Formats: sequence, C-alpha cells, structure tokens
Amino acid sequence: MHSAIQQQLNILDYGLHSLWQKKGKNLAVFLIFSAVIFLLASFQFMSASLGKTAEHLLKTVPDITVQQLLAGRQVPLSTESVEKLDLIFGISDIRLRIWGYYFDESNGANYTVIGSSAPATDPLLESLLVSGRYPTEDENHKVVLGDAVIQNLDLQNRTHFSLFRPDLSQISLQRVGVFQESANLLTADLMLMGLEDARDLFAMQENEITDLLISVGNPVEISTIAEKIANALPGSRVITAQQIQKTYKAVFSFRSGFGAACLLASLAAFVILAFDKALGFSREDQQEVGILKMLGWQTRDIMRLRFYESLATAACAFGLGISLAWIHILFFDGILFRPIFLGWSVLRPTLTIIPYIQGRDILLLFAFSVLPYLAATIIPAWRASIVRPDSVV
Amino acid sequence: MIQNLPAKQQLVATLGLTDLALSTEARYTRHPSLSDPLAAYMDHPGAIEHFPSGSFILPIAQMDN
Repeated sequence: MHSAIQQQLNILDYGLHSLWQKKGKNLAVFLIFSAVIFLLASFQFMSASLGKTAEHLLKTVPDITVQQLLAGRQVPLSTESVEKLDLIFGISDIRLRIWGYYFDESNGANYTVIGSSAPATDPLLESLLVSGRYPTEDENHKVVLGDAVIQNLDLQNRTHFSLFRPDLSQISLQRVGVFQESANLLTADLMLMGLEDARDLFAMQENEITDLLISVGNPVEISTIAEKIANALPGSRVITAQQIQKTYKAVFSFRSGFGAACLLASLAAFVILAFDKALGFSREDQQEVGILKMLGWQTRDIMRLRFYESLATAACAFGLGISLAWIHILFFDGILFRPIFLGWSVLRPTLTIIPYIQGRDILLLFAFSVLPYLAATIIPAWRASIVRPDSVV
Repeated sequence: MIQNLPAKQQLVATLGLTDLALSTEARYTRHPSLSDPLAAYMDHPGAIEHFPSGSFILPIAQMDN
C-alpha cells in the first residue's frame, strides 16, 4: 500500500518536473485557461452577489402590487378600485402610488418618478439621506432626488429646477433631500415626490393612480387574496412579493442565456484548443515516452503521468482564475461586466457590489472548467502512451 | 454585509420599490417586476428586443395558481 502511494508520488513528482521543464510550452495553455475561468467565475460571482443583494433588499416589498392592463399595456387605475378591494377580507392596508418614468430629452436619460408620501419623521429613512429631509404630506413641489439624477441634471448646489409636463408647460420643483450614494442600487434614478405632484407632472386625472400597494395580514393568504383581487379587478395585473423575489433569484444566473452562452462558448473553444494541442505531441515527447517505456514504465503509468500534468495545470489555472475573479468583484466591483449590465443606459450610477461566494458556485465552476479539460486530454494522453519505444528511440 | 440594510428595507417597504436600479435603459430592464409583460415587438411593429441588458434579465415569474 505504502509503495503504491510512493509510486504515484514519484510519477507526480516527475510530472511536475516535466511541466516545469516545458514551462514555455505550457504557459499559453495555463494563461488562457486561467482567463477563461476568471471570466466564468467573475460572471458567476457577480450574479450570486447581485442575487443575494436583491434577496436582502427586496425582502420587504409590498405583499401585493396591483396594476391595470389594457391590450397588454399598463394603463392608470381608478382610485374607485380601492372601494372594491375594501370588501376583500384579509387585506390590512392599501396604499396608492403613482409610478412612472420621466424621459429627459436634453440628455436621453430615464428617471424613475415615484409619487408617494413617505413618513417625514422616520429616523431610519432619514439615515438614507445625505442631506435634507423628506417632504411632508401637506407640502407641494418638493422632491427627494437620487445621486445619479443630481449629477445628470447637473444641479450642483441649485435646489430649484423644472420638468416638463406632457403639454410642455413646466412644473417647478424644489429639491429638499438627496439620497446617499450607498443607496444607489435602489435610488440612483429616483425622483420621490408627493402623489399630487406626480399626478400633475404626468397630467393624470384626479382619480387616477398607477399602482396599489397592498399589505396582507396573514402571509399564508397572499396568493388567495391575489386571486380574489384579480377577480375583483378585471384586466388587472397582480404581482406578489414571492414572484418578485423568485424573479431576482434567477436573474443574471446561468439560465439567463446570452452571457453564459458566450462564456461557455469560450470555454468550449479552449477545450478544443487543449485537445488539439495535447494531440499534436512533438518528436521530443515521443522520445521521452519511448525512453520511459524502455526503463520499465507501463502504458498506464504514462497515462497517469499525463493525467497528473493536466490536473496540475488545471488546478493551478483554476486557483488563479478564481482568485482573480474574487479580486475583480471585491476590489473593482466587477468593472469588466458593468458595461454589459448598464447596457445603453444614460445614467451610470456608481454601484458597490457586495461580494458573495458559496461552495456550490465553486463546484459548478470546477465541473464546467476543470472536468472538460481533463476529459479533453485523456485521448491525446492515451495516444501518446501507446508509442512503441523502438519506433521513436 | 449591506450597509444600513434596515433603513433600505424600510425604504423598499414604504415606497414599494420592487427592483434594483441597475439598467435604466428600458422599462423592462429597470423594473422587470412591474413593466408590461415582455412581448415581441412591444415598442412598435418590427421592434425586436434590442437592449443589451435585456438579454440578462428574465421576465417575471407567473403567478402560481
């Protein structure tokens, strides 16, 4: 038993020594493999980090959000629908909200407008403001702005600014508070104002809103009450907190297609390269195998040698790729993938990614990278090991 | 650890925020939870989905009933 282990260690030792001697030849494979693992791991770590951040932040979304659809598009809801929902037993609170986008024609940015009445005296909420306060319920034309909105409107120290209504008349607004940069993931593009101001900005009718935010007393009943709401308001779209959380669990994941497909294609290309490179073994390699066989090595020993060489290369590349990916997420906030997520957005808020790593991600990356590489080198290793010594030495 | 998490959760609950402000280029990438259901040619006839971030963001899960 002891001698068998010693034999494996000797083969491993020889393999590592052989790799070191041919380091120039192996360096290219090692670096490309590390780069492929780095890209795959960065994508996976970023997905996991964003998913986890969303899970924490969106834990408190309203139990049910209700919208009205017409011909597949969202249209305003009437405030009279609240009376219909009042009849449903189990609903503990209904809040009205106007939610929409303001397109800034001067620079092509989209701002998210929320017309709501946030409690002005909540110290917890005030801790999210870098300066100022929230507007009180009886104040008009007062807004709280997100960090990216301030920068995009180039407000600097100005507190008064104007936005255009649909008829191009102007509504004058006063900035009374600014959200912290650390809350950018939620508030970067936000313009928070009173319900009446939002209605005025979008020129909506007095009895119109866009959403109803509904709280349910017993969480077990949420799906039942959602069904009742859908029946009470024909054509409505009823979204539960569970649906939103489920969406963000899968968002940016490997199932999201495009990005993963590109990265896996690069991995497949690398595996083909590794296969091709291992297949084309040189005259020196053949002579080495011939000499080893003349010294008494068996075919299986040569295959083990090649396997250990591949394993050592793959393990080192895996370690380097994962480490670089972690540094990329931890210290550079996934800077290489930021442009993909931001796409053609005009607003480019600073985002801090909260790094999150889990064992299953490491296993998944290992299975997607190291195992295909080892598999791709088996046949070339076998072909190299069946060389007849007398034909090459 | 997310900085000032309780305050952010309170803001989400108060304003009913449903999505992360990552991609503001289109309504279905800024608010995948609240925008129209994703549909082909949703903006005008012949307009296929063309925003890069749209490729990464799944439409909202359907209601279980």
